[in-house]
Amino acid sequence: MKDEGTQVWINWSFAVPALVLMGLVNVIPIGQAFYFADGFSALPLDTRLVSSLKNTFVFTLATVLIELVLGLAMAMVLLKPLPGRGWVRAAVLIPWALPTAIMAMAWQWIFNAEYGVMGDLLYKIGLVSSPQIAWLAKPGLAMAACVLADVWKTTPFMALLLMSGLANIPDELYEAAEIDGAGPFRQFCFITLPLLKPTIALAVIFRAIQSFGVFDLVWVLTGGGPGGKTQMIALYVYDTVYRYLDIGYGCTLTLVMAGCLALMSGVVLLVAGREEA
Amino acid sequence: MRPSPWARLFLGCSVAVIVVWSLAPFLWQVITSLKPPAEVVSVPPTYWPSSPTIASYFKIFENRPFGTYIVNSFIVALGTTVMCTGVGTLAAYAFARLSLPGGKWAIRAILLVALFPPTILIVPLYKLIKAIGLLNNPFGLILPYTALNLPFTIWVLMTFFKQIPKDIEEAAAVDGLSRWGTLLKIILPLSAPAVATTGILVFIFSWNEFLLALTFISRDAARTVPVGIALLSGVTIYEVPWDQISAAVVLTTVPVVLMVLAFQRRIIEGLTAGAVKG
Amino acid sequence: MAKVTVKDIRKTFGETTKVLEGISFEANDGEFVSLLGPSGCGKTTLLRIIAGLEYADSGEIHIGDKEVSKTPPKDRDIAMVFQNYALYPHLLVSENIGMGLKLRKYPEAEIKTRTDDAARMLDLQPLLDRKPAALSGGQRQRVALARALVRRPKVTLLDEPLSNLDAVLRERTRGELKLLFRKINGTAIYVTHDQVEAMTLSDKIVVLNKGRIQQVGTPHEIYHEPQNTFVAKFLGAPPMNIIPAPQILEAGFSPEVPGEAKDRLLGVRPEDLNISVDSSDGAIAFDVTLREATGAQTVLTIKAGALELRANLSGDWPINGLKAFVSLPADKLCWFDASTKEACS
Repeated sequence: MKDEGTQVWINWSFAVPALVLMGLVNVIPIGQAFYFADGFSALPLDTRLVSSLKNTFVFTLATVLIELVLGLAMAMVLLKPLPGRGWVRAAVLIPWALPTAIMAMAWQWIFNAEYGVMGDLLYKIGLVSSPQIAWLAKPGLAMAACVLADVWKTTPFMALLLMSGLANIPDELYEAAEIDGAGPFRQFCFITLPLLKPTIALAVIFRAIQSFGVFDLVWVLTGGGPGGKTQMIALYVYDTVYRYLDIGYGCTLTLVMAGCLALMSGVVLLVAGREEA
Repeated sequence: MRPSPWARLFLGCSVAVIVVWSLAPFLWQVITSLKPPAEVVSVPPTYWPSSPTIASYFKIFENRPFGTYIVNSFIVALGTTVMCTGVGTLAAYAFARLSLPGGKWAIRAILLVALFPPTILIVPLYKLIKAIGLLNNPFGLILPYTALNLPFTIWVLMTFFKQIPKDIEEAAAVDGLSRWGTLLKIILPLSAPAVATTGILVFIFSWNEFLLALTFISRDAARTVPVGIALLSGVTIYEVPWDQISAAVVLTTVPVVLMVLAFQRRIIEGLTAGAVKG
Repeated sequence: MAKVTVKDIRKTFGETTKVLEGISFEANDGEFVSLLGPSGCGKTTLLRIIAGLEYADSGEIHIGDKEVSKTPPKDRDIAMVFQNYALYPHLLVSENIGMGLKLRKYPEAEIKTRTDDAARMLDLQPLLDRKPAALSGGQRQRVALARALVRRPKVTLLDEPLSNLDAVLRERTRGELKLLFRKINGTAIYVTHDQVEAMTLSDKIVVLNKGRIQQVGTPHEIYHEPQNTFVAKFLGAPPMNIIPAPQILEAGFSPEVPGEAKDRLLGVRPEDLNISVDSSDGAIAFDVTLREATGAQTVLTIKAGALELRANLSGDWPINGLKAFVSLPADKLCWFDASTKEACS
């Protein structure tokens, strides 16, 4: 038998390649961001930063809320025993699995002002007076288009997370509630929601962080336009570095972003934690 | 209890809505790609191609190095999958089974790191990749992709390894297998499904990744598919007709769609086991 | 086959949790030894230390004439049957059985003959080409045994191998296990918390509690001459009555107490009490407060003043028998020291 110290080193060595890679890619760059960051004094005067932060918060709030509601509905439907459930689930997974950037192209085509199918569909239903809608050229509509595309893409993931939470709620609870005389709506309010809260908290944190870092969808779909009205923080960082070649300020913006993320996850954790207690 | 006919009708309609909603944007691309160029820009849009043609699928290969993009994407995605599952399996085994003082803290740190979107890493990471001379090189993507997927891979595999009864490894030790032997002959065959699951997810992620691929690759011949296609738009939007873009979209998404159809159950298991991955 | 000697084994988990505090015993060549004790007594840890799956803080393990305390399990020439069988789920039954031989580089032909032998011995021949998932609990258990026996190890270690079987199967397998080990005449160390298994299977029982040996002896010795109140109460169902001697005297009994009555506890097995519905000479009258009949026997809880005893009699007890007349069996009384709880003779 080797002595204990040696054994511990041998054991750690199994994990070393992974740790080195993650250190190199995930940890060192964060340290470097602090090192290279400069131009902090410009931050308070940076109106583009303020507007892109505002846009990102609006986008994050809208997508996460809509995805939560739709995802919950979707999860409850998908948990029901259906013929061909495997196929239904596969269909639902497809939006999640397709490349975001490429599907952003697809959405661009759907929202095309002249030939887009979205305008035509709304016109045929009678919701709009003309099928030609400049979706991506009008501020409010462009943001709505981004939110819709993201909701389409990510709701399945939300639904999956919630499904695993729902599946963990024992059937007996619903049966007991039924015997106590609770209808479907009250069962949902008194059993499903409270028991699902930890899962919801996890899913919301996770999705909010992802949503806050959105890049490819918006970059391809609107490019941040029109007039910067869908400019997200990640797009701003990208522009700063690759268009204006200002790496120092790019790092500073990165740190601002990381700070916002830490703050957001802190708030959600705090709220969820208080509810628990 | 049998649900009432109304409840069943409602459920059926919900399922139909969900399926249509999920597939429509993709199917619209399929339809567009089959239209002749003139019909693509007809107003109002036609909902079924009057004379379906697959000409656009050939044109994208003529007009653009589309084949090269696909090959690049395959190299990067496969390389990442192999590397990530290999390195991740070793680490997950160590964290699940070997005595590692401080291992719990390492796992927490890894999961914390995984929580943050790669967007915030992009600037310093770009400098790093540039410094080691891997810009425009598939390894310049494989390395960061591997690292970005490792937390998830380690987590899922670790969860799985922990479910394998310890008895079996002890029986192997009594039978005369070394640690390595146990990992190779007992643990790996047993966890092949879990490794495959994470492999599928890592492949999909790497195939789809956009931001790093956009910033680390500037040479057209080294580009991956998502970037190659996304760059068809923008300035050149009026040069490349939409039927060809649609064809490219469909072609690129086909491998992913096939994987989803084939591995639906696995993917769901992996995602919910990980529960820490977008 | 070989003798196993365990010498002063000590083991502490973490800083302070003492699991084993100086364990020593021997398993002679061909002997079937049980480690018996309640859960948490350290018996499984002790077995794992003998196997080499864990290492003791101090003490020695000898298998045959070799000191193996620091030897890894594969070089100890032991085999082990695990509680959950630990079959390799991805390998066939035959591969499961042959794995240990294959890793020790035995020639294919010998692996085959030995596997077949073991399979025949345990009635596994029709199952050799199946995977463990396709077997019933009892069959898996037999595969685990075959995997151990095929190696013809110096000693076979068994960790509660019957605990995952249902009651009927457990009883049958217990009998088969006994015949099997008598046939191969192999040294075995068997961990169990089930006194019936320990009593029926063993040549020798080591009773453990809280990391210390309570008694080592043949099943007969353990049952009839318990060395302390723990052993006395742990074996037997219902357990031995243990009563302070003054209470016995107060109730009117007059046994011969060795030493001062206030320092003594009397132990008497429920089945050893002389009990009758009819009054007789020297018998004390008790009220029957509970009558539990299981068919073959009846357990009575009886009370006289503050003294409560349990009695176990074969056969029936009349339902209307509300009085019981009890006398003590003079030759079957055990005496314990009231403060040390040790037997005194």
